[in-house]
Amino acid sequence: MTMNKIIKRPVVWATCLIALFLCIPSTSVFAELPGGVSYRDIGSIGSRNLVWLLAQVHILFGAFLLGVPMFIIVIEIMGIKTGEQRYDKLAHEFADLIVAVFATTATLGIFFLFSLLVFYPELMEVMAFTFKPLYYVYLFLFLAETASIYVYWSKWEAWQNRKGLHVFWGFMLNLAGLALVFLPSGFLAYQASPVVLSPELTPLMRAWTALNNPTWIPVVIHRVVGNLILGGFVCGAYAGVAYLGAKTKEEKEHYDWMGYIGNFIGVFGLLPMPFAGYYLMREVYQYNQQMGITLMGGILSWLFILQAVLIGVLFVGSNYYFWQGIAFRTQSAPKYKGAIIAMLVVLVGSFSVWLTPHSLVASVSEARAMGGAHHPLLGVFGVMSAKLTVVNLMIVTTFICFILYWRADKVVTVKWGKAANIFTVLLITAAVIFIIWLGVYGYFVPSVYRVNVLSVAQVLAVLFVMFTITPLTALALRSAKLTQKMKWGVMPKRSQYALVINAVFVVLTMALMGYARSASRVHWHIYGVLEDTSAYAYTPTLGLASLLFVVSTAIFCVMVGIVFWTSHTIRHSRFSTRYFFLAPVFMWFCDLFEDKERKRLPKETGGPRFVMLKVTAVVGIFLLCYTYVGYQVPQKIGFPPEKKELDLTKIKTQDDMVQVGQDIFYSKGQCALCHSIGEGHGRCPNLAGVGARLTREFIYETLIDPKAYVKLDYHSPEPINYAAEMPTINKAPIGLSEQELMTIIAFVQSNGGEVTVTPDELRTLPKGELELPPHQPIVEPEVQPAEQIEEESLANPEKLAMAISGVFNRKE
Amino acid sequence: MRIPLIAKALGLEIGAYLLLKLGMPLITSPLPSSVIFMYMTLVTISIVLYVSIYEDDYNNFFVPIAAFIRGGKGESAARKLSRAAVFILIPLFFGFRSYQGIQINFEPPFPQRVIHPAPPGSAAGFMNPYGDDKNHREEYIQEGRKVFYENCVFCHGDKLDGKGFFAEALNVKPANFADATTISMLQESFVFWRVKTGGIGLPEESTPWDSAMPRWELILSEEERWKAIMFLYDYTGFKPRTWELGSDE
Repeated sequence: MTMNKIIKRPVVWATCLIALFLCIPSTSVFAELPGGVSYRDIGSIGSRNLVWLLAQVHILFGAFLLGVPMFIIVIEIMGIKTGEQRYDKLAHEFADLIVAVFATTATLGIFFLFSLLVFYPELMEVMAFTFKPLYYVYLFLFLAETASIYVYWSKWEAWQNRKGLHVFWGFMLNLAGLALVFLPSGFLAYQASPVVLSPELTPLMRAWTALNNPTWIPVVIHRVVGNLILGGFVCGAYAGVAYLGAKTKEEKEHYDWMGYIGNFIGVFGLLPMPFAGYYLMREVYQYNQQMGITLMGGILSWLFILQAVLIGVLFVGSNYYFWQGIAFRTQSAPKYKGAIIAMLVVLVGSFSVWLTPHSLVASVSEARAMGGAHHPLLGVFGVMSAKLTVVNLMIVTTFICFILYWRADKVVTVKWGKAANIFTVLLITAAVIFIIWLGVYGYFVPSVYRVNVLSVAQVLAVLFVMFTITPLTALALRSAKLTQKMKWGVMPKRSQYALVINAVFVVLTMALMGYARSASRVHWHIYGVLEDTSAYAYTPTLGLASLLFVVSTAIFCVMVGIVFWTSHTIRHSRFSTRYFFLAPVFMWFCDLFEDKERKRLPKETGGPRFVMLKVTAVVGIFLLCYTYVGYQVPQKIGFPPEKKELDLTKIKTQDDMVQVGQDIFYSKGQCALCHSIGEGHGRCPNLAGVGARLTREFIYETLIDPKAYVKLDYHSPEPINYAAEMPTINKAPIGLSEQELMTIIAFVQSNGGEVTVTPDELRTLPKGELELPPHQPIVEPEVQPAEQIEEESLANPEKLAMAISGVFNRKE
Repeated sequence: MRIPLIAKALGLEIGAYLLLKLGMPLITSPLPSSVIFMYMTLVTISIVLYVSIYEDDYNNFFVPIAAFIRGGKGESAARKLSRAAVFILIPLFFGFRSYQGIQINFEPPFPQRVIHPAPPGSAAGFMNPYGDDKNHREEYIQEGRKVFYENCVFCHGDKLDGKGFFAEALNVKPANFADATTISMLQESFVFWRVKTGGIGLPEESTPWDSAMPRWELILSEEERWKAIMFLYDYTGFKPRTWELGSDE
């Protein structure tokens, strides 16, 4: 039986499918180890670094795979609308690229999954417990993606006359891709911003509740836009490399145009990206201020200077490519020299403000001369108000650049052309003045006003400019006279290197942002819920982190290079592994045994020669420079805080109890994940001043039986449906001891009330959890086993009251 | 006569350096060398970008440089000499820099500290119990003023600008509250945490050993600390960072 026949049998498919789905239950077999190992390590490289690299490279491939179809389908539809064959050809070539990386992405995903299972079994067990039902959905989506990607690609030629059907498959591909971003983003967003999962939830509800966490949607938006940018720029780089190696005029023209489209898509995604990032950051702050400070002001703040370098290079790099496009492709190039200088000055000026940190790196004598770590003049540039202003200016500049490029070599013939020009100039000038004014004004108003009103106004001003000028220009240019058709294929080599460098920097940015997101959890696997107790719980120095960004970027670039090269130049029909990244190695190996004549067979496609060596050298230099920059910023390691055991001998006064209770409230007890005191996000009742209103019995009962009173209080007058209900605090997973509960009560009481629990009471209480194992001998026969007390008391309020009064010395 | 592009670029480079190095101290404090280096890198990058956009600029800029390095037949002696000089000077320059780098230096190393570290979780819960009491607000602020001028003024200065009597002697300078980029960017609870635990309460990445800020919880009562903070905001006219719009009108 030939391979072909085997594949065509439905039984084979069904078996594969079942085997795949059986993989999920087997993950828990992997994770649940009899010895209860939480971590494993691997010598030299370290388990964290290995998982880090695998995750990063996998995600980069995934981003490319999911980002590119978004614009393939648009290009294909454009081809149908305009009837121009070149659009269809371009879309087809992009589709070739995604099919080429598909197998590699999946392979890396499996590497990543297995590394997680091996090195972080405990974390994986918790994640599997939380998300198990969704894992099946994820697998299904994966199948959908596979099916749609292959149908879409393989039927390209066959369905030339049935474009509607083909576009429909493209749409399905995007749908599956989008869902594939949604699910795992929810998993990792849960790790950063978990919600409380009460044990009564059904598996499906649990998975959904966990998925629907505060930063889920912002992360998804950020990622989708990021994927688009990555897809665009990487396609641009591919075209750039192909252009460098192109021999014929047609090839040059084609790849020049393709590079232009890639860069355009990248810039198109880049424009809304700062807004998406801003939204995500806001949600992070809302969720947990501490996490926000860790990122923006604390140990990771220098990371954002490193990110600023990357973003700045991206903006400058993509504009640079546009400028060269004006200089080489258009006839009226010299006319734009002044405008290009102006744009360059504005961009670099904004970039320098964007780069200037608040506290400068200075030696002691320099800091002295400066009068502190903040420079009196430059310190102004170090805060959010300035950063947002310049990033908006950079976006506007890029937009102006695009408009100029669009209008080059065209003579507007409509009557209102002049008026439109004046309006455009006036509007942009007004918007720029408005943005700068808002930025300056931001220093004189409370932060909250700046964050919620001024920054939003800046963004709206930019959007307004874009949404007004773009259609206006389109209308004005519709009947415009072309003085000369755009010349393609005349770009200098350096412009193509700019395309490649842009792609490299997008990849670096993604690596950096992925790290920022993970690092914001500091020493937690799941923030506030599952602590990282491994040897790698610390936050590494930014230099080391930069090195890892660079290594993952380099791996990605090399692998993508090999994949593209393979899919382009070697087309041996007998190899079905054409799209696998190891294929060239096998090819080379097989060729060793071939006779020389066969080796010299003409290539089937006659595709362009790739000038890998030079490009690799240039990319390498840039990556080295970036590593250097990474080591120039302060190098600090963030260690997890020391563990605190409840030490009764240290608790002497009620104030001590309050202090201990406060610590537990914000750490082990996980109370602060939902409850805030004072200002809050309103997920659960705010506990400000609550000590005055509640008795200690009530507080205690709320902790051990949260449902008892929540219903009374909140179901009338209008029932409120809480998706995530309060867990029982003295049971797993939180499982505070009675003593710890008492300190919590003391802390809650101290909020506006009088503390009535005393340190003496603490000493009379059992140390551990209330639930004693049945085989343990009970020391005092008159004390019932705690479990029994609870079971009964829950059923009978009177007994509950007795149980409480047994524990507490009621002062009445 | 038209000035050659290279001369223009060189002029811009030198001009920018002089402006940053010498011009800056005329109007404000001098810049640290790290910042000057960063800005100069940007100037250099933009020059390289600019001259490589148009083909004629590219030729005018890079071709003469390449020709100078490569040399050729029939060159004047002066040109040959200057090339030799450049090729001797460049390694000498790097040699000198290396020498500077390994020379024994009495400057303390760069203090790389995180200025606003993330507070421990427990610090997020501090709430000013006197904040909402509008009737006694003035009173509290006056009490806070007293606390400030009895305790804090020595370092943070009588204008709250971080220029107290002792400020000159301290290496991490006292915070300048009058600066629009300090307390107005922070929540009250953060400020309270810093006052309460002082320098010693900072996490490792913020080099607690560098800060001279006392642990005020041992010296002042909670009430005094809150009132002092209220005074800081009142005197400077800033508002603490909050998350809810309209909470302060």
